[in-house]
Amino acid sequence: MKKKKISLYIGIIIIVSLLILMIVSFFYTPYSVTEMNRIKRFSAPSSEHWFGTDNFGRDILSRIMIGSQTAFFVGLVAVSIGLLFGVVIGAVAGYFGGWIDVFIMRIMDAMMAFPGILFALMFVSIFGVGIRNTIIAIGIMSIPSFARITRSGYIQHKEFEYVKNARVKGVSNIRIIFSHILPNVISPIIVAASMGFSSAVLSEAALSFLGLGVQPPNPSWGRMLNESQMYISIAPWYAIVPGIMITLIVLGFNFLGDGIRDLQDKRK
Amino acid sequence: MLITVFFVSVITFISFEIIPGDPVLARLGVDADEAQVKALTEELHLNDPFPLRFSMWLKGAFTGDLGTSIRYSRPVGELIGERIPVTLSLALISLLLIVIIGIPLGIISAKYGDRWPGITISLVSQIGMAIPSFWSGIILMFIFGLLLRWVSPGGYTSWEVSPSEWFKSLILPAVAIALPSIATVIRYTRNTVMEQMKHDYVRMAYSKGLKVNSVLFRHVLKNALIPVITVLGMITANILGGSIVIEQVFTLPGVGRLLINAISTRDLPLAQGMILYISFVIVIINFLIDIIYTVIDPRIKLN
Repeated sequence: MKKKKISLYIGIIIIVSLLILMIVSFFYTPYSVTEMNRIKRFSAPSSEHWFGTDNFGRDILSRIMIGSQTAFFVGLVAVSIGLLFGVVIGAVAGYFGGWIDVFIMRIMDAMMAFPGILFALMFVSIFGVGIRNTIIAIGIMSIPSFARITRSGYIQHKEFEYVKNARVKGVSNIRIIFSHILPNVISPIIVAASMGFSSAVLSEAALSFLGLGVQPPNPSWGRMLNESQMYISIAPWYAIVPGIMITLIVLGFNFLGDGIRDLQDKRK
Repeated sequence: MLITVFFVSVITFISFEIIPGDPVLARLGVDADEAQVKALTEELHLNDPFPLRFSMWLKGAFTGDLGTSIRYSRPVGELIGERIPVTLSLALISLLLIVIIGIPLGIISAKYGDRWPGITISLVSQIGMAIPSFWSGIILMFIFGLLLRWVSPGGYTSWEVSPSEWFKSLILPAVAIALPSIATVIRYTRNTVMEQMKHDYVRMAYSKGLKVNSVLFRHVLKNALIPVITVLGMITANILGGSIVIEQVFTLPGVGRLLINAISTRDLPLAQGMILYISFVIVIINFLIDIIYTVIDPRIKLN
């Protein structure tokens, strides 16, 4: 019993610490993120600069802190886009069934056949690089998985008595879909949202690493990795810290998702 | 499969149709006179109705004629063809690593269940899933390429030139791509094997007096294989996606690097053609996996 809750606790601890880091960064960073200092270029980690400095002599800790804002922002908005459209599409497909279901799920399958990163690349190549388009692309590509999970819940629940009763009473389909069935099928969707958050952060990091996501001078962990690659032999710490941060946030949301799922399984 | 291929092509075609900007003016410049504009519009068939243009483009795609790259002034098909060997070798090495490391570790971790070796493997695999491949790529290159100098840090040597150098130039990127997928396969194998262990036929096999390992590898593995193969299908798509990024880290002249170049220089015919081909490959792989199911498990029928 207790063992099962470990992932939930680890997840919460990691995410809460990162959230605190982000909130603090709105009010305080040890140094200015854009302040350059030629003399201090590539200083190794020290008591003055905990994570060292980069090729412009900027403090890496401060940039990591501001970068957490980007990570959380991208994750939050992208998951919201995916949730909003995915749940509506999946609910309609699952609830109505028939040709609507076949048609919608064919499109979702085709979207899933694209590897996520490929779709995001296509999107930014058409609409241009930058953070806004990155978020929209990541959001769109998470729609099919939310739609699938929602659909399977609706297919199961539309046969239940409470739904049939509601229909006999003349409750409108929209009301049945959103206020009767949705609360009953929401838990796997929450798990998917947590996992979706970590893959959104990972995708943003990959795109920014390729130079197509967040544009300078805005700090992003993926972007920092991209810039650090050139200086890896003189400043390895520059590449190590952002990578650990990306791993941590992804790990946190994966653990959280796993933990919530275990909790639900136990209730059943 | 054909329906999915059709949808994928429609999505790709329409997406590149709605690009803001006029392709004719983009090519001729704003000062072009009306006759020139008219001639090029005719040449590119831009006045034809939408379904006609789509079917011509699709026909071109299937006959290998995807138009000409703006930047390289060469046929798109030819450019992609040159780079396929690099990406293909990279994908195959990673897939091999995933299968020979992931599946056995998954089984071992299931064998120990909730005792410490099982828990340790699943915890490590949880971390492995979270590490971005481009970061582990950078770190691997730093350790084995720059510090220890076992392999060259980046660049590609073809098989024809020297098989050992070919392997050395691909092993690090392959490991970087494989790591998260190995972790996924371990977790999946562990879950399905542990699920199978609850079945009656397992108890039966034990009561016959079989040893743990022979029950695991001769009875359970066969039944656990199908869900694992499903995951391998998804992973193949991930490998292709991963190599797009990893080729950038290790400066490998593969399909991924070409695609990133096409996108950052806005070479749209090239980008469009590449995206179409890569997604075709993935759809075909998924189809092949469906066929593999029916071979492994005759109970499953394709409809």
